[in-house]
Amino acid sequence: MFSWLNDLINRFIDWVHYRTGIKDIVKEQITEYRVPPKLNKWYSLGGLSLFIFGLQLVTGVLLLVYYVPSTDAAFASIQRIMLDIPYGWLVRLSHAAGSHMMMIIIMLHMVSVIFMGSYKKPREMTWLSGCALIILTLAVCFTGYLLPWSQLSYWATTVATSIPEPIPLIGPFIVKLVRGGDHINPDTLNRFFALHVIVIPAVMLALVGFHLFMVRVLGISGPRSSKPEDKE
Amino acid sequence: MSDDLKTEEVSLPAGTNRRGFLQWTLGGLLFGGFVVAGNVVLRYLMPPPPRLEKAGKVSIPVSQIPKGSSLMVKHQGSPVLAVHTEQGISAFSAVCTHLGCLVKWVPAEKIFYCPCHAGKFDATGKVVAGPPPEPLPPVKFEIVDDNIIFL
Repeated sequence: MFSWLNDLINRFIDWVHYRTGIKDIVKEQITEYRVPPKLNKWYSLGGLSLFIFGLQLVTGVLLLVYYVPSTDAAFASIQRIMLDIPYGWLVRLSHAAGSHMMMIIIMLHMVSVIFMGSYKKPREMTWLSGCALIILTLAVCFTGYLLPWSQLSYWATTVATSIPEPIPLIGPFIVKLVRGGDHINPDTLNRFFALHVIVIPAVMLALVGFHLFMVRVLGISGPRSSKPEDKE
Repeated sequence: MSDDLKTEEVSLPAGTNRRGFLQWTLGGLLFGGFVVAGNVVLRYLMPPPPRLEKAGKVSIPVSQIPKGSSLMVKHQGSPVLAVHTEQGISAFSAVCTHLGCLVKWVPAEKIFYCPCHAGKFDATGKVVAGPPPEPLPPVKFEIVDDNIIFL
């Protein structure tokens, strides 16, 4: 029934394959990629967090279309997204719920890696890039929380940015640097905005690429099997 | 037995085996999901219809345009420039007939000036300089109780 469509798709794939060798890459990396035996749900968490990261990028760009990063207009623009724009509530709440889901899933991912000892030699660099990613995820959640410029986000950021204050000597300096002033002010919103929408996501994207590259270079660290015939 | 199966499999046209069916089903589901998501994104990005489309006639008090000044108003979704000269009040479409920039009234020279390509129109809308091919179309209005009502 759809053989003409199959032919059309195959001809297109052949055209791309001749120029890139895409069929071999797909075969090696996806369709005939061998994973260790007895993988379970815990091994889906990395892929799941990648999916949510992609979702956050898409919904984030969509929010950027209507959000205004200024103390005068930020809250009103959020209200507009929630009340006036069609499906704005869906986009914004997906972004908010997605951030929570991402934290939960990468925490579970980390737990499984620790529990199974998957961070051990030769996978230290994968592990360290993952640690950097979890810190950056926290940072991106933290900077994003201020952006609606609501009472909740204002005071939450006031409290959270005062955390480094008790550090001897450099504490007050760090607080001033993060806030861009003695208190939360319009400059704080703009620097958090810059960090949230471009700086941290760009670094995360590069690190995710490295993380995945290392996973593919070294292969998945599978569950340990008690039966010798399960090896390979 | 196994030979029978083999010939049967070969005789089937491409895309009608179990794998083909599953691939098409999965592909269809994915495609359906993308269509739904695409609809959400498109509706989100599409500007909502303007609420004041049928707001009736635009009216401004004459006192808002003292002699020598001009006022830009939105009338039936397009910009209209009303000017008050010695000859009285007149109104024109503010869209330049050249490439659609908005003209502005220059009181000192008594001309409509287009900032894009230096097109100039006189107080009656006639082209006096620059590339515009046609005069500015006048906009009809009437004055009722010191209010300018655009028609």
